[in-house]
Amino acid sequence: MIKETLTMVNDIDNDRNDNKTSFMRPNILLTGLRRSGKTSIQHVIFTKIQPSQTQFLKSTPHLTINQFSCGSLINFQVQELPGQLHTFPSLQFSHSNGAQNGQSSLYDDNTTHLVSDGCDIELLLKQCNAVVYIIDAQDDYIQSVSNLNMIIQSGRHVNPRLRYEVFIHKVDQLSEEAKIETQRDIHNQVRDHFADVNGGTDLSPLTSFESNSNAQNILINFHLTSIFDHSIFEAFSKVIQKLIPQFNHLEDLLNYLISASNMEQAFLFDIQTKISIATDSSPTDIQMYELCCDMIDLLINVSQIYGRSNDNIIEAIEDDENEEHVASSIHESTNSYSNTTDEPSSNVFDSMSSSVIKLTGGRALYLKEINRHLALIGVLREETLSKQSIIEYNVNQLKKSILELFHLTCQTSASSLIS
Amino acid sequence: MRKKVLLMGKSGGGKTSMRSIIFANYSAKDTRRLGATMDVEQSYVRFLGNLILNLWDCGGQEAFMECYFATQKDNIFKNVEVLIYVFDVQSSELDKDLHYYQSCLESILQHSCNAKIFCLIHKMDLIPDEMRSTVFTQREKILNDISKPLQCSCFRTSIWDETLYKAWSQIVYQLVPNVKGLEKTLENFAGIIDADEILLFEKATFLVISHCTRKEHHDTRRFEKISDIIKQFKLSCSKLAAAFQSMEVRNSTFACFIELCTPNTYVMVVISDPTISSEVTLMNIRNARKVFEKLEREGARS
Repeated sequence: MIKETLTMVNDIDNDRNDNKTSFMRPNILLTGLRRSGKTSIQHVIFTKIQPSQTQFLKSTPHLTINQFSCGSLINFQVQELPGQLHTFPSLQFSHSNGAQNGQSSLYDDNTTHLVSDGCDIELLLKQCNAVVYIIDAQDDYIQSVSNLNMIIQSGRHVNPRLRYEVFIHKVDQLSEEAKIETQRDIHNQVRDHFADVNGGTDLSPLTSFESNSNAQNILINFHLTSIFDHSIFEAFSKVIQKLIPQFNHLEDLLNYLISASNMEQAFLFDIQTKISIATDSSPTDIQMYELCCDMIDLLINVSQIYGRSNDNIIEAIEDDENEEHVASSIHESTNSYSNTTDEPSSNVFDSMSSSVIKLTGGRALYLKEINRHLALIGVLREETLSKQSIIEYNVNQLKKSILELFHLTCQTSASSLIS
Repeated sequence: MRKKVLLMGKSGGGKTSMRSIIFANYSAKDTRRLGATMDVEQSYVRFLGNLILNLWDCGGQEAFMECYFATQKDNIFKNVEVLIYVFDVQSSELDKDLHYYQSCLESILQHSCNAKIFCLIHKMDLIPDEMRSTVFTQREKILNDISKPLQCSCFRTSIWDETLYKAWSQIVYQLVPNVKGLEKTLENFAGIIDADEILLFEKATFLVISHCTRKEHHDTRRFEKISDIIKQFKLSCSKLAAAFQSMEVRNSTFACFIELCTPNTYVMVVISDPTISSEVTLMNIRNARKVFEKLEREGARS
């Protein structure tokens, strides 16, 4: 479910930003220069819009906040901050950031504050858990990178454990070498900037979920993305996986599952956005991820044709009539026959939804519903499928564990909020 | 058994794109790469095992068209089973198009008077939604009139939706030998296993060649949609250098099985009784294979 609200930052109460609420609702700040693709990314992931339709989206005037939830199990806030950053002298702001006074550097003066669209960047950075920065790779990105550097500089003061995820976006037109070149170039630019400013400071690319103990290190990661293929989903999945507090537990559960059931890989997907919430520890390639997304599409599309109960027939007829008027291009990568309403897939994705697809080469894909929004997809050998009852039993146990895990999390947070 | 299928129409009408999507596993986007067809491109498509579709993709540029009706007439228009004529709905030279069409019909009447004729009104996606029905009905009427005494079946198509599959399904249906026998067998099969619906697909193109419906379904376009859905999935599998062999999809109200039926066909069984376990249905399908294979062999012999 997506709820979109416009808000001005000054209205956000500082008191709300304590550990408990950020635990309940991780906050992602999505930013980048104008026309870099932020709104398109949000629309492609969270709504059913076709990538080619995003060119018709209007530019975002203000800070917008989207809440993304998996049926109250996983809640996110994505704050999209448009436009350019400007620096203003501190006299303009009534509150002061006392922590600023000790720092001095070539680029960041203790009397300036970063502002965008009337919002104080530092306040936003303090409140969020991750910054997703979009760089348009098809454009000249020098200014974009310097913008990024300003944000990182600012963030280091207010929130040293902040993660930066840089999406090098719109790479669909670039060749493989060009992609790697661009990524290397941007990485070097950021690293060089911070090496100059504070001698010896190093950027550490995130290699594991544990954050680096050295406070000087900046946690930053680069991804090559495009809305015209699955790379944006994969990149966003990785961002979200690191922010879910239960990720470690989910990963452990999936590891148990694959060893007990003799599977090769397991993924936990959100059906609507096709973002993978958790995977097991084994390395995965993007093609397998794409295939799983396609499997979800297949399941939902076939279920929509044949899987409606009699009560839903009338609704289905109306849906079909609406489809005539929905400009849908079938052969795009985000293929779907559903309308662009709030929860189109929930009707047909019910507690008994499952699918088994056997491929040549002895592999098979096994999908089982976990709850209304989540599905487990396992990759296994065809021989393993002969023991389907064991697998079903194990998956059921996994389902119970996951639901209990989220239930407990809710309970703990709820009780800590009350107290 | 070779059946000759002629694919004709003006240059740029979409003939080669259609052919590539249906028979060569192109996606709609891939067709942008295609260039103009020079003269006649012949391709042999193995269909349903022993049926060989001899597809004549006739380049539509004027020089070639003139040639067809003059020197190459015998060569091209003899032994034709099916003529598919493609009209670009946005063409500004409707009269000229109709003139060429009539010349084709004359030659057909002369050399292959029993050929079945299909007219595809193509690129319908370029017409605004509200006007599609009216435009199509208009053209259909004109074509029916000028085709007399021959009969033509008209379809509206676009490579960007499932209408393409519908038209080609119908075309291919006409070419399948012993299709009535197949349908009767499907009916029996459906009755025995208590299925709501059974579809029979050709393996390479996933066009629906036969079906049996025991329970009414509200969506009349479902066959094309299913063809399209499965074809899309097949295309994505190929990225992993794998192909799909079989699948099962279910929720609380239905279960759908897609399995290999004969070496050249796939069967899709839809069952809405949740008490019937998957194993039972799969076993039934396995047993039915022998019957269908026998039918296919008999159809080939005759």
